[in-house]
Order: sequence, then C-alpha cells, then structure tokens
Amino acid sequence: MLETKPLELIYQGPTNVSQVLSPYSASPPKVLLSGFRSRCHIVIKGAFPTARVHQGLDQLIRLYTRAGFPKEELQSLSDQLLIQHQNSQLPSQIFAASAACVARFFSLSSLCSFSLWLLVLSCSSGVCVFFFPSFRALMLSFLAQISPHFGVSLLLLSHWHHRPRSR
Amino acid sequence: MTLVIYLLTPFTMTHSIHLFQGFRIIQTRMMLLAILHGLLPNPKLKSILEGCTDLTHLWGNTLHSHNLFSRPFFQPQSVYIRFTHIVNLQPKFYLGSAMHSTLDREYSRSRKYLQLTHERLVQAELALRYWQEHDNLYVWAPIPVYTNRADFRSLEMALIQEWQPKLNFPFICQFFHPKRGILKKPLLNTNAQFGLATLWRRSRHKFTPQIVRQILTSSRFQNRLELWTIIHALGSNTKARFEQMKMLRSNDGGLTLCYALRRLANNTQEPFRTLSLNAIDSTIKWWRGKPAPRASALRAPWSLSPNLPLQLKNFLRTWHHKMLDYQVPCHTPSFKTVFIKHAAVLDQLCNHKQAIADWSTSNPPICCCKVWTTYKSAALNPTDDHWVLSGSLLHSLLPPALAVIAEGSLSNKVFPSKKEYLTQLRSGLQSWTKRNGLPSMPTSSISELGHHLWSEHTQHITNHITKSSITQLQSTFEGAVFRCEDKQSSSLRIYCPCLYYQSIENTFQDPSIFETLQVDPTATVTSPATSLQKKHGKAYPWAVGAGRQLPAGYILAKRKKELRSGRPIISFVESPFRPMLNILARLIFQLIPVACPNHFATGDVYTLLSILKSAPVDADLILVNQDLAGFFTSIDQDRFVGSWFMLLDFLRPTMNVSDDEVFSVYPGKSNNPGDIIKGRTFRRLNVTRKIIIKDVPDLIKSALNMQTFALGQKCIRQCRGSPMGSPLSPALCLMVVSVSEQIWSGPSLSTNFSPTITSSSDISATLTTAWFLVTDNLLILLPMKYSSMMVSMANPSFLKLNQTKNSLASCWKPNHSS
Repeated sequence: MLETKPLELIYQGPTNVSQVLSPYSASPPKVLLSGFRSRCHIVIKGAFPTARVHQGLDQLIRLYTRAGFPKEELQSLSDQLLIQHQNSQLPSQIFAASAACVARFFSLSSLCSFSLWLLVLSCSSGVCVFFFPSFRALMLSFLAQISPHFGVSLLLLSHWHHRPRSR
Repeated sequence: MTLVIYLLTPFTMTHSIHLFQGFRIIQTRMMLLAILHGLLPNPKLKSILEGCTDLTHLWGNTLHSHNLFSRPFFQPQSVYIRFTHIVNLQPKFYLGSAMHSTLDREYSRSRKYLQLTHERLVQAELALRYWQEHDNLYVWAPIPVYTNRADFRSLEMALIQEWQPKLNFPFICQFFHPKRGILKKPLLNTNAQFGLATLWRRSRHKFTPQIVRQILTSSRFQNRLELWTIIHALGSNTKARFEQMKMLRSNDGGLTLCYALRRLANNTQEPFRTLSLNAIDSTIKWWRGKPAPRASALRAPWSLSPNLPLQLKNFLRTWHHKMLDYQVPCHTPSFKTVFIKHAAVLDQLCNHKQAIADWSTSNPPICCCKVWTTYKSAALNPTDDHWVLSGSLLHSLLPPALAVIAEGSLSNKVFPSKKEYLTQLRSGLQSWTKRNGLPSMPTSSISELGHHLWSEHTQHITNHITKSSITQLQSTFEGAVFRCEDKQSSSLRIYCPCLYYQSIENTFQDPSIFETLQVDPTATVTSPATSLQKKHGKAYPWAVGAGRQLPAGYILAKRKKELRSGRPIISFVESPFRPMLNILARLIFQLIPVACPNHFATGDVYTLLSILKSAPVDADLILVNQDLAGFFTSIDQDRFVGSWFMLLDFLRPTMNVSDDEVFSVYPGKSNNPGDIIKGRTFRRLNVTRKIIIKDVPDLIKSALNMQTFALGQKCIRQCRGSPMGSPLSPALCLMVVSVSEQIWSGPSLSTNFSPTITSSSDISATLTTAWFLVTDNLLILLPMKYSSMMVSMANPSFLKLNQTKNSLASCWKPNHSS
C-alpha cells in the first residue's frame, strides 16, 4: 500500500493462516520457513521508511506464530535477514560516495597536469599561443570520451562492492 | 614514471587499438605494483604473479624497460591471467588463452563486452556476463603467464584445474547466476568440485582402492599437462582426437584410464566437455566396461524421524564401504539426500475435475446443505439456498486433526501412508545405487531401515496432515466439491454441488466468447494433432510433442459474483503442439526488449519500488492504476500477426530479419547452469530450436486456432482472442501492447498525440520512467497537472494513428486512482 502524505510504502502481506504453510505440513523445517524468508526479503527490500519495514516484519511474525511456528525462531530469522541486508547496503553507499570523490579528484588533477604539459609544449615548439585554448579544448573532449574506458580502470580503489547493473 | 607514460600515451599512439593496448599495459603495471607492495594482498594471486609471470622489467623506470615489459603482451599462443588489485576482488581472477596475443584477445573481449552492454543477443561466457552485470570489466587487467606455447589450450585447462580461478567455469557457477532471484545458491557438491585436486588428494586416502591408487601414481598422471593434452585432443574435432581414441583402445590406454579421464573431462567447458565425454564413453563401451555413473543424491521421502538426513547418510556410507571393490574407479557416489515433495492437500482433497466430469454428464447434483446445519456458521452465503463453507471458519467446528487441514493452506503437504512411504524409500535407494554405479541393496535391509524410520515417525506424529485425516475430512463432507475460490488460491472452500454446477454453467455461458460443440473430446484431439503434424512436422519434428489431450477447462468461483459464476481456467498440460507454443513464447519474450526498448513492461517490481521511493514528495504526483479488460479475448487474430510484422520492423536496425533468417531459441527451462535440481547439477541442453522467420506467422496462426477445449465430456470453443491458458498467449498479448507503446513513445507520434506533451520539454522524460506494465495492469506515476493525459490514452483516436484494424483502446479502463 502506498501512502502519499508522507510518501511511505507499507507491506500488506498475508493475513490468513491459510496463506502460509502449516508446521504440521509434511515438509522439512527449512522448506516450511522458506516462505517466511522470502517474504521477509520482500519487506526489507520494498517497504520504506525503516519503521514500515519493522511493521511489516512484525506482522509476518505474528501471522507465522499464529500458524504455530515458534516466535523465537522467527524473530532470529528476521533479525538475521535484516542485518544481512544492512551489511550489503552499507558498502554500496560508501562506495558510491568514495568513487565519486576519487573520480572527481583524479580527473581534475590529470587534466591540470595535461594542460600544463600542453602549454609548455606549445610554447617551446614556437606554436602560436593563440591556438592553445582551442587545441586544449579538443584534447579535453578527447580525454572525456576515452575516460570511461581507460581512466576509471586506473582508480586505486581498495574495495569494490558488487552492484549489479540496473536492468 | 608510469604517470608520465600514462600522460604521454595519447600522443605516441595513432590508432585507437594502440591506445587501448597502451593503456591496458600501463594499468597492468600499476595493478601489479599495487598487489606486490600493497597491504594484505591475496596470497594465492600474489604467489601466482610472482612465481609465474615475467616481472623482470616491472620496476624499471625507463621507456626501454617499459617496452621490454610490454613485449610478452604481443606474443602469440599465450596463457594469461586477468586480475585486479582491489582487495576484496583479488581472489576472483580469470585464466584464459589467446592464439594471437594477450592484448588481441583483450580487444576482442572488449568488443563482445560492448555488444553485451548494448543488449545484443550474443553468446558470451559466464565471466564476461559477470563483468557486464557488475559493470567492471576494466577493473581487471591481463598479464601473460606463458607465451609461444604450442599446447596453450591444454595448458590453460591444466592451469584452470590446478589454480581453480574463481571466474573460470565451473568455479564461477558457485557465486554467479545471471537472472537469479534473491535466494542464495547452495554450494556445488563435492563431486562437482573439480576433478584434479580432489582426485590427487584421494590418492593419499587409506580407503582409496588399489586400482585407483595405481592410476593416480602412473607416469601419465604425474605429467598433468599430458593428461590435459589428451582431454583437449578428445574434445576437438581434429585428427588428434582420432589418434587419442586409438591410444585409449590400445594396451597403452585401457578402461581404468578412461574412467579417470572421464572424471576430469566432466569439468571442462563446452563444447570440449560433450565431445570428449562422447569419445571416452564410446571407448568405455568398446572395452565393454560399466558405463561411468553420475554422482546423484538420494531422493528419499521426508518423515518426522529424528536426524533423518544423518541416518540415511550413514546407511549409504555403510553400503558404499561394503561395495568399495565394485565401485567404478574415480567415481565416488554422492551421499547427499534430497527430500522429495509429498502430494499437496490440493492434489489429495480437491475434486473439482470430477465435479466438472459429473456436470458434463448432465446427472442432477445432490444438495448437501441439509446435512451441514451444524456448520452453517462457517457458510460464506448462509442466506442462499446452497452454501459454500469457508475452511478457516470451520476451525472451531471440527476435531483438531481436521481443523488443521480445513483452515490451513491447500499447498500444505500430506504425509503418505506406510505402504507408500516404504515404496518411495525403496525406489529412492534402488535408483541411488543404480545411478551411482553400485550393486543393488538387498530388499531386507531396505525394508528394515524403512520400518525403523516409520516407527520413529509415528512416535512423533501429532496433528500432522496425513492421508488418513484427508480421507476423514472427505467422509465428513461427503458429496461436496472441495476447491478454492478466485484470488484465494490457498484457502479451502467446500461447495454444495448444486451451487458449483450453477457456477460452471454461468462461467461458460457467454455466447460471444464460448460456443458448445456437439463432438466427443477424445475424437476432437486426434484430427488437430494430425493436421499440425502434417503442416509443421517436416520442418519442426519436435513441434507437436507427445501430448495428445485436449486442453481442459476449469473454473475458479468469484466471491464478487456471489460464487455463482467464476473465472475460466484452461490448462494446456499434455496438449499437442505444446513444445512449439513454449518456444514461440520464449522467442517473443526475448525479442520484445530488443525491438521495443521503450515498452512499459521493463524492470521488475523492485525497479518500480525504487522509482516510487525516489519520487519527489512535494511534486504533487498522481499514481494511476489501469486494468485491461479481457486481456486475451479483446485482441483479434489479424492484429497478432500484424504486430509480429511490426516487431520485425523494429528489429530491422538491430539484426537481419529477412524471410530466410533463423532464430535460435534455447528450449531449456528457467534454471541456470550450476543449479542443483533434484539433487543434480543443472547443465543447459546443448541444443537449440531453430525457427525460420517466414514460418512464424503460420505458426502463430496455428497456435491461435487451438481454441477448442474439453469441459468434462463436453467440447467448448473459444470464439475470439488468443486461447486462454495457452503458453503463447501472454507473449502475444505483450507483443501487441509493447509495439503500441513503442510507437506511442516515439517522437513523431508524441508530437501529434497531445498538445500537453509538446508544450513541456520534461514530460517525455518523466513518462518514460514512470509507466509500467505488469501483466495486464498499467501503473502510471505522473504529475497531477498532466492527469488529463490519462483520458487521451483511453482515446481511440490515439490507436487509430497506428493504422491498425482493431482498436486496443476499447479495452483500457481506468480502474482506480489514488
């Protein structure tokens, strides 16, 4: 359910016992709780803000407890999944911030040294200084074109978080 | 020094390929330095780089030393490593070989990468898909390990088995699964884990049979490169393959060598794997040896016995230990257990198929409501003449063992009877011994184990769902129809047969959609199957398949129609032409995103959620949900074929779509290579289905003509639209809608479409990110001031612009907005 004021996404999961597997069903315990696990993932990934995530998880735990599963087990499972998601999100945020900073710093410093070098070259070889700005602009555009392929690979990052390309 | 070379590189190179090569070499130097001098490098990668690569000129600070360092990159017949300096990715290195040079291979890889990033339909190895998925191909750099080696291919295979690089097949399957969901994949079992290392370790074990030890200590197995040269030759289609097969059939080779080679060849990449395994298997057959078994897990029924997996494992190990001398050399069995699924309550309890069969014979139904007076409080419609009892409301009215079934999910599984349990266990153990190449177990020991497990199981059983409790529930509500209702697929509803029959009649009574035929269903199915075989059987012998049943119709009663009418469901399971329907559907689903990149049904629900999450709070947005009324019955057949031709037109810039071109489609299921399915590692079939473009319209027409289905003993024909339940129908409907959306999103049309769009420059960008099609639901997120456009979308004039005969607009109806 989507609330607009303020913008919130609330998980409206199953409410009846008939929508979840029973502990009396003829399956191994891991299979019986697989539905709970996947529903927890959906809540954690989808609902926002954080209070709504907890609300969704509590709602799930209540339903599964009503179906006959032990509450402690459900609680520890949901906590474990929550931590797992938090751990997987944290490095990506750090990465996004650090990569942007490093890329900006690197491109700036590289361009500065490059322009300086061109200036020296053009002056020493007797090329008219008048043509320098246009030549520099040309080179900069060239570097900007190739930087996604070559420049980025030279970043000395210490860690990389696996962020799948958005489809 | 490296920085200076980096800055100078653009001026010393003339062609783009030289630039590419220049930068790759500099990058390799920097990454090598970072690994060798960095903090906490991966010890395996570091020792490989230090021990196997030529680092003589790495630290040189002259241009000459840089040139000397670069030389191996241009030498032919090389084996190279792609590695990265990033600490957490260092274990994920990749080993490859190149015929011309390392950098030449690197350049061809980058071109393939470009094709992948542009979503071209190309075949690419898993490692490249990994880099594409994570957008980090250039974070890895290549360095040659060996150059000028004639046996570079077999050297590559030998090194892959020796070093086990994580990005090479099959190791990459452990952590990378394109298009997988959120669940974590289990690790490969020990038998899939890579022959050589485990094989050598096995030679040191005390229980390793003498014969295996002899193989492993033979001179040929001491020279690992020679071993992989044999396998590589067997996997090729050259004269060398013939020579090696001759050797295997001579006294120099032999049966035991064949078994050992087979174990190793099993882990190589396609097509080497299939070719070499074929060669080895034919040689084993020639030697009249036992066929090499596949390590397969035991498939056993689940029960409540404590420590069941451990008990079964111990039983298997004991048997294996006894039969060690009869085991096929180098092929250890798997001791894992996969618990087979028991039947669900839905399968055991629901009798709607029988109800439809009874209805079709025109026998009058017998009302059950009179004997249900004690359960009236559980009725969903107590004021009506005939009732429907809700399972969840029956909870307090039934004994606990029956209440669990009534209020629980229809997907709950049912414990079998003792006889069934023992049969399942016996057949599981028998097939385990057969698949793992071991002698059969005596029936007495199997039955002893079965009885022991069953007695433990009965001690732990309480209110569990068993076969006997299902029978008890059926007898409590004798004569009733057990089924769920629409949109409550897991909740039990117990119908009075009178009401259920009425519901069937009302569902299929609309004469504009359904027409009753006066023919017998069994007779009706044979002639279409024969005509389909005659029409398409020559070009596509696989198309008709083995199924010879007419599609079967059911209903799901709808609460909003007071359960007196329902949703028609038509099942195409076991119907003829199903293989072709599946392949056509798969083909269309693959082509739509390429042909219509702007169609709305892109991304999954998480993409939608992330957009909703990032929507500006104060932008005065409106979210509209529209529903297509009658998705399958509203589009006529000509429009489907017309949309196919338009789809081809959209594909034309991307690929050749002339009449004689062929589409290749994988018939495989949605599993990925490396998945464990029923205890076995899934491998993609090495076959593709080929469909010629000019045949597609005829195939679509044949599929659309499969409109007849059986309703018990009656035959019904769907008069319009695409057949409900056909696997092809969702693909065809999505194609029609996607083509319309693609045209609609085009600039030429949108300018004519609405003056609102032309007046705003940012609206098109907003719209392309905010329209979603989820099956037949359209969700639109847009600013409130553009809400008038929703009327325009439902305006038939919009679709008339597409020059189509039938307007789709008539089936768009605003559902609700919030």
